[in-house]
Amino acid sequence: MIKPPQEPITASLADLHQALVEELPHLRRFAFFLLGNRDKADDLVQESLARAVANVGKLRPDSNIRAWLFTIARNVSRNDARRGRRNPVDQHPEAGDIESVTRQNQDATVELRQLQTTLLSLPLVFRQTLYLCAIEGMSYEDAAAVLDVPIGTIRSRLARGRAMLQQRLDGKAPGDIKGDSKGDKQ
Amino acid sequence: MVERPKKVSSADLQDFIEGRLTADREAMVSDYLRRNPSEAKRVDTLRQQAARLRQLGSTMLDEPVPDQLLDVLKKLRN
Repeated sequence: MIKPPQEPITASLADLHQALVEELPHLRRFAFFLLGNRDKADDLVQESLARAVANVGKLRPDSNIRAWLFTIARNVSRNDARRGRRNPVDQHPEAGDIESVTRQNQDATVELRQLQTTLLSLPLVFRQTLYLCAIEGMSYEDAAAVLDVPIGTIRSRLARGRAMLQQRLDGKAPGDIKGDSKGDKQ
Repeated sequence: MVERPKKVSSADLQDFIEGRLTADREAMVSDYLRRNPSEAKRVDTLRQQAARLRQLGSTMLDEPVPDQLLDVLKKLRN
């Protein structure tokens, strides 16, 4: 039996390279919302990309490249946090960082800054879920794959995360809200 | 014959807030909310929050990516 000729490996690598380059802005933004600091975020992206390049053979043709990259970044970040590096629960993002990531106009400046600061103050599990589903617009299925949890967990974290965010925005809960503290330690 | 009221689940309400419903279910939830003002207020607040959240980090998608990050990917081509 004659096998169909395979696509030249160089061509497919060039395509893959292009696809990864196109994902970089999204990966940088995900890293920022994990860490709340732009320099730390780019360090995380750099390390994640090195890992992605080393493991590119594991990427399947039907894989969602964004979800694959985010999974790697999330794993690198989690391992770093365990070792006390680049702690992803940075409670005090710098004002300059906040201003540089979100396009602002005069009307929305205060509101968006407050929203971003408040989002960054949420426990990691809620922040990650809100980022993936509410900012990035990822499917529940892909978000579940990135965070390695069932879809039902994504749904409940999304609902609780939104409620918690709103409570903090409304000033109803100045302190820490009783929440999913077990899940925070991942 | 009386048409049974179509049930709106909490999952429908969540997907409505997230903007993930099909047009016909979205219309059904809108209709339900018109008849339930207190629920409508909560949902509307979260819909507004959702719209604002989508704007966060917008600048980062347009800015150039630093060379040191692009360099890591160049290894793929060599």
